[in-house]
Amino acid sequence: MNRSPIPLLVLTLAPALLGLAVFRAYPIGLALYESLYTTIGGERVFAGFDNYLMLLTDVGFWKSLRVTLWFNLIINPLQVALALALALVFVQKLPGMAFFRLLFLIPIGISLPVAVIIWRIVLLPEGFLNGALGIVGLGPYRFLTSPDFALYSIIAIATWKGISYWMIFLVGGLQNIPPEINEAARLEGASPWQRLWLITLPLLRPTLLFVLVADITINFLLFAPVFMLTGGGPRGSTNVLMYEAYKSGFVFGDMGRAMAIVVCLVALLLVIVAIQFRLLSSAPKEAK
Amino acid sequence: MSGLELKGLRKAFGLTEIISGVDLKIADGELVVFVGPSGCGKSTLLRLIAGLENVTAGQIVIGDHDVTKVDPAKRGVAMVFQSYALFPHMTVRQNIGFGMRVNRVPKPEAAARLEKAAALLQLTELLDRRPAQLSGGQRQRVAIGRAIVREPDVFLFDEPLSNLDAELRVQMRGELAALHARLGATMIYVTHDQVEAMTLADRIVVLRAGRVEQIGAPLDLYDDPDNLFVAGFLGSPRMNFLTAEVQPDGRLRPNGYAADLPSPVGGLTPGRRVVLGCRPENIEITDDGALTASVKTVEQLGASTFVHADCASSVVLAAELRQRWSLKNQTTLRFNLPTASTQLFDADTGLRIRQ
Repeated sequence: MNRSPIPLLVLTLAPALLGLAVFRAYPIGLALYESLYTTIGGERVFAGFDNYLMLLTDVGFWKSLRVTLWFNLIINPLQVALALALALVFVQKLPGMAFFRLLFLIPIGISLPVAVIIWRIVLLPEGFLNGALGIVGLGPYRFLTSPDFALYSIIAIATWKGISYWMIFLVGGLQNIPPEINEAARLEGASPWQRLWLITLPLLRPTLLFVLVADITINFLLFAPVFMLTGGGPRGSTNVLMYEAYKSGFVFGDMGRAMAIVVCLVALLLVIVAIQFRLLSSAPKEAK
Repeated sequence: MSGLELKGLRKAFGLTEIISGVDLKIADGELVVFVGPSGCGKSTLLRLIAGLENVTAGQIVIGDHDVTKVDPAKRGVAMVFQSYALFPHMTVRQNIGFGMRVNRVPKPEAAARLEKAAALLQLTELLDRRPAQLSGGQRQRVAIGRAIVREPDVFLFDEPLSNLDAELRVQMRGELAALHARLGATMIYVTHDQVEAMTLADRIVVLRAGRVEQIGAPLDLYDDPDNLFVAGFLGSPRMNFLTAEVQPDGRLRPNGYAADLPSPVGGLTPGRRVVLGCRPENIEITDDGALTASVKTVEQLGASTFVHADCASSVVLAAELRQRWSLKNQTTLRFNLPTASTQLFDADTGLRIRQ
């Protein structure tokens, strides 16, 4: 058995590497490449870093970046916190839990476009929610067409759709914690709150890190609800960078600018994810 | 420190009754071992005492307090789990000090208690390590340390040695016995290992299917079991049982044999079916033995020799001999059951028949 393992390694890794190259590396490379070109009068012209330089002074881009950051600043902590809360409820052994578990899991089985359509019906001025609020003398509110509400409506819909999915990961993480560890803490006199902070959350940290990173990635690249519900409006209040890039490329035909925005978005995302890994995966100081 | 009393304790999960009425009084400072086969309810009983399971019926009294409905943390019990249940993200120091931390014990006092426990358990050098950096025996000691610093009324041990290798188990067994002697604390110890039970216990509680089969000092249970289950459970190899029928003259005829043996108990009704029990070390292998068996295996352990032989009626007989022995398989040997060291049980109820 003196044969080199390298051919075998290459062979077994080839499918994954091929997939990575075709579906990840190639589009990223293409975006990078395209972002260096611009289209003038139907001609593709090499523009160097002009697309990026123009973004620096592009009010629309900066406003969209602000919307994207604000959107993510709210939705990610909200989703992870709610998913964690749901997961903690999910693993309790309480009567009637089977029903609640089913309830929690329904959003996962509904495709995003369907969910968006349902929520649109709920949120329209003459919709279900305004009807309900009307009974207690409130509203009607323009949930999807008012700059004050639209972004939060999208956050609500994306959260409703997303948290059950993240909950499943957190449930898995919670069930990986041996029950005796919590029992031991309970015998030692730790309150449920102390058990959560001192035992459960530290032991759940690897799972939380994964969920947070994956969730942020998805939310930074969120597109469908904006596209289907608000089209970035009203008055740019829901115009996240993904939608700005889409408009730039497919509505206004400026693919160079669109690609430059996408590249900026990906770069931003990489920085955020790197910071998170730094903060969350390193063991605390007393580890040594 | 204080004693503990269980009164008519029952526990059911749904319709399945796990503990079916246990009454037990444990004296202050006593080390009691719950022993029994898997699924006998011994761990559940311990968890009921700890408060990790709710009691279905009955009472638990620790000291003078009825703690049946008291929160686990306020019962004055500390538990050492089979898996140790150490907090993996905390150092040994933080693990041992966890209870004092959440209960806001003043820092100087907490530090003093921690130092004392660490010294007692030889953990001082390891205080800044994490559980993953410790050996099995060291983890075990951390778990015990975490229990000690709480200064509980009652220590509960749930199969604490079963995750250790054989050598370490013997060593930790000795350490636990020494610890009990030094602390003088009331301890309840659950195990399925009868050697642990025999060596550690002041008293053994033998459990089967949620019921107490017998309670007593280890040697009392060994020498004087109340029923077939206890007789068979304690001792390795287990006690030999020969089913027999009482003859008109009061002697016993083992199934499959034409010979009669004297009965250790007089006045039996002829025709009654009984079980004659004899421990392996009491079997006499002699040329004028009344019974015969065919040698199956011979295990030479050096100090003693175990002979396993097929009797009539397909019972396997185990005999422990002091001298070395080498017999070929299938050899027929003759043996006797010395009447004074045999015990008689009813074949139907399994209960001991005493004089």
